[in-house]
Amino acid sequence: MEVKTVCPYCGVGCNIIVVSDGNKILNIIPSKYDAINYGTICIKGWKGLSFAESNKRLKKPLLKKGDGFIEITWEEAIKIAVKRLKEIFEKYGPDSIGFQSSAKCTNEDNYLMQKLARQVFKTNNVDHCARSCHASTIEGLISTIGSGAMTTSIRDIDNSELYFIIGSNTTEQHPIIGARIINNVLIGKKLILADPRKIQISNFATIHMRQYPGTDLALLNTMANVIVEKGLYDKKFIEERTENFEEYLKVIDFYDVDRGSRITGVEPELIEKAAIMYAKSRSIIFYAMGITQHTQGTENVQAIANLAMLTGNIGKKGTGIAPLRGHNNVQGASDMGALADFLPGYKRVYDDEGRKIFEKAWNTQLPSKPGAALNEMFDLARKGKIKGLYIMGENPVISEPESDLIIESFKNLEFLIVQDIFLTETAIYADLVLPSLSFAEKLGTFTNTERRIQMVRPFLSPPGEAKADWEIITMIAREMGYDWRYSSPEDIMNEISSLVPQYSGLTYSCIEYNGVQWPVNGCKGTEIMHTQNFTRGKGKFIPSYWKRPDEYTDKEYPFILTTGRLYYQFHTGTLTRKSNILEREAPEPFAEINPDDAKTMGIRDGDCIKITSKYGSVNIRARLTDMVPKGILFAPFHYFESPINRITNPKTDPVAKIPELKVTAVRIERCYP
Amino acid sequence: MIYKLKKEFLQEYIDDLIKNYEVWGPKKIGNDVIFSKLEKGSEFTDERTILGPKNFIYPPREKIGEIDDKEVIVIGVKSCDLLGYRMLDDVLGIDPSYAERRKRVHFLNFVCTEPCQYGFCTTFSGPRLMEYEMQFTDIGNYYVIECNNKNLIGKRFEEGGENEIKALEIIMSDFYKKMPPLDVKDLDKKISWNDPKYAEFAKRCISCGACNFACPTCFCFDTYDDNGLYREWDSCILSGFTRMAGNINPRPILDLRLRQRFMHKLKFHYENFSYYLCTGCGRCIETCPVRIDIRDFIRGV
Repeated sequence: MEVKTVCPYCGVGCNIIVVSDGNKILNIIPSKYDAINYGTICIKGWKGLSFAESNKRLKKPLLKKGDGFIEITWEEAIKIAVKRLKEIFEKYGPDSIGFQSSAKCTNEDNYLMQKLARQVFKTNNVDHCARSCHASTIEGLISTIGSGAMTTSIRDIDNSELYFIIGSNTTEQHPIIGARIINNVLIGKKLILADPRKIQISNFATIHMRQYPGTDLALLNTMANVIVEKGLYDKKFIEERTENFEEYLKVIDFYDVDRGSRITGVEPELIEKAAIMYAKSRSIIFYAMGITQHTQGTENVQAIANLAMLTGNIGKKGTGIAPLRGHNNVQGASDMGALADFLPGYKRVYDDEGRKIFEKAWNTQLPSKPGAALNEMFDLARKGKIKGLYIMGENPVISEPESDLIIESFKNLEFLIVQDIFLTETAIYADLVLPSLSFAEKLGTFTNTERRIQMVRPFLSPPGEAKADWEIITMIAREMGYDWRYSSPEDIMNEISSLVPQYSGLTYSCIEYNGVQWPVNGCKGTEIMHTQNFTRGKGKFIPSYWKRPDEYTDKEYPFILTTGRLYYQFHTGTLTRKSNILEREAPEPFAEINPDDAKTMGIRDGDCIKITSKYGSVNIRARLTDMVPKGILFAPFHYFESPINRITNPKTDPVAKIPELKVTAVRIERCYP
Repeated sequence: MIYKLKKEFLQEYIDDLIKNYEVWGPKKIGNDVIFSKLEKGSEFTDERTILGPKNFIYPPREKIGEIDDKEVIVIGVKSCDLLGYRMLDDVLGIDPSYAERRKRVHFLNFVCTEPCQYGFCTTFSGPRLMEYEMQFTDIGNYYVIECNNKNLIGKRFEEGGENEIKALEIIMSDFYKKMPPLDVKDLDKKISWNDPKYAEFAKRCISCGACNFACPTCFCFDTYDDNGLYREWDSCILSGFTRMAGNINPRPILDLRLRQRFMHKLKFHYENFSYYLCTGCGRCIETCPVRIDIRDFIRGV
């Protein structure tokens, strides 16, 4: 059997064809589909799918007994889950239960998860990991242009003249997009890179600005200042399509090149040159966690939108804003309203009109107060406000900041359900573990970073008794007394396409072979958004002044720690660390440190160092490299052996509630394990 | 023996094969052509697939010692791939599971009559092979079939002769004109240990390993334990390929790993076996996300 499906790793959503005999993968073939990966995939596509065949997969529901688990039947599991959730619901009220949905699950799974929270348990306490990656994109782009997604297409990269990458290690995290950019630069197009680290794509940068972590907003404002100063802004575009330009001018006026240079540490000439090049070319801005994971994340994103509107680099071929989504379906999970403050289709929970649509469809009253965000759920659990937690396909113990407190919060819960494909670092704390299906065994859709809704198809038979997430959620809702009648993911998609405007009229037959990009109308997609009007009508300049990151260096904590991912590992390693080759390539945690810093401290390559922040410490191996500038440490967060998120900064952006994972003040010392 | 088969009877021939064997061949699925188990002859297309059918004799991942014993016919393999498997034989032939599969899998190859975008097979053996089980060439209304396996002769096959051989030769000389061979004389001696191209390629290589996984001649594997011993295709582009205990790595940077790939294909293997470990299939170019082009490299040597 051969099926065309979508790679389950990053947001690029490469199309692959998997040949299998139902029990094992016989071959993996990159699809020639020219909209995305034109016959290429990265190492994670080639080698990372074997997790599905791993012998460590969960095969039966597990119930905590003493320190261990015992296997139970599905019937028992659903009975126990519902009994306990109901008890908590009745005893403490609706907001005492939290639901965590997953960007690794399909749109259908996510839609049902938030429906379970809202319709059945009457709470908006439903969220997923977009909170820690692109929550600020959603807020930042909705407030400026009206839609929190990539405005252009992967294919459109070829139409552009210049690429401005800020806060994205593109070749490692979105390799196929990175490669497409490189191919274009090789034929003479230009690349501006703003990144403190000397990442691979810097080999191709016409200009590389190495700003201090947490100064992106100042850099973007300074570029805008230069563009206005030199008269390179698009007056016609601003007049016809935007508002609030005067306010914007007032703010960016403050950021003359010298000031910008002092704040960011980038030479004034470089900023000037970059700004002029950006303004004069048909340009796309790519950004990722380096922009969003800050206490000013939303403002950073707004600054990007401002810059694009200032130069008219949006809504046309070869231009736009491209937030690069980390997970395969973080776009889709957000679209489906697996967010504490949004209903499906980005209707605010407090927007009466939007809420009415769903109240009518679901035949119930819906709560209008925004729920607890992902990280807030743990705080509330610690404070005893949240008593039950239902986590689907997330591993917060590794992925969220100050993780010791998360483990502590689990002890306060009366009931914790973890629904996953492996017994993760989080699942071991669960009272009930429900075995679910991976992308390899279920049908559904993922929405990639360019808004393309694509079919995911099963090619392996389920391990043991594991069930699809949508099936499990449906069983729970039914046991709760709700008459949910979904017999297949297609039923769910039909409901989605009748309620979510972006997915309006979409059916599985539209995306039988190739996906379409939302907003869809029937089977017709949209390659480039905002061509005539912005989704919010007029584009709005929302200027902000740069503020110092929440943490900065001082005598006690003289280094800045910034975190990220590696090419060979993905997120908390739940999947990649089951792949022999991927795990071999990046088997252990490390912290990158500049050789000059290391020398002053007497640290050699491979030495054990203890990194300490306000929140705790972690022992980790030092890796000496000039990829990081002096004063900065970089560490990947994949590893439970040195869970770097134990010590990262949990302070959040006040609007988007995204933690500032990219800037934590730390000190280091040698350790002797 | 030389046969010919009217083109309209190819489907019927495949249908007959399906009655007796498990038959796999290229099938169109949307934009893609992939080797698929054929249910009927009409599904077959002779278009080029993005990967060759190497997985039939050498699976990407397998439990060591596990071989099924069914006989399989793979029809529509391109000559460049099949030639690659002949080269694999010299290295993997002593491996029992490889040898067993090699016996049970019959490759019926199709000779290209038009050059493909990335191929440069004329540099090596060209599209018409000297060793084959059954080789098909499209000469217009007929396929010329060169056959070394009597068991697979179809009922519609007609005996061929001088005329068919002549037609083949004309098509081949035409093919060579359209795809002029690259100069590979003494390549093994001329290739440089310090070619600046290695560093140039390394700047953009994203270490995906596609050049290895798509290559019909790459044979390296890694083994590991997951409740049983498994082996899977490995890639010399990856640092873990040569990393030893204590984090010592003889090829610590990508430049050196890319050098190994080119040197192995164009020098080391030649020194051991007197042929280049490359068939000119161009699959490494096609599947490379950043278009690292072995033809450029050869031309530059």
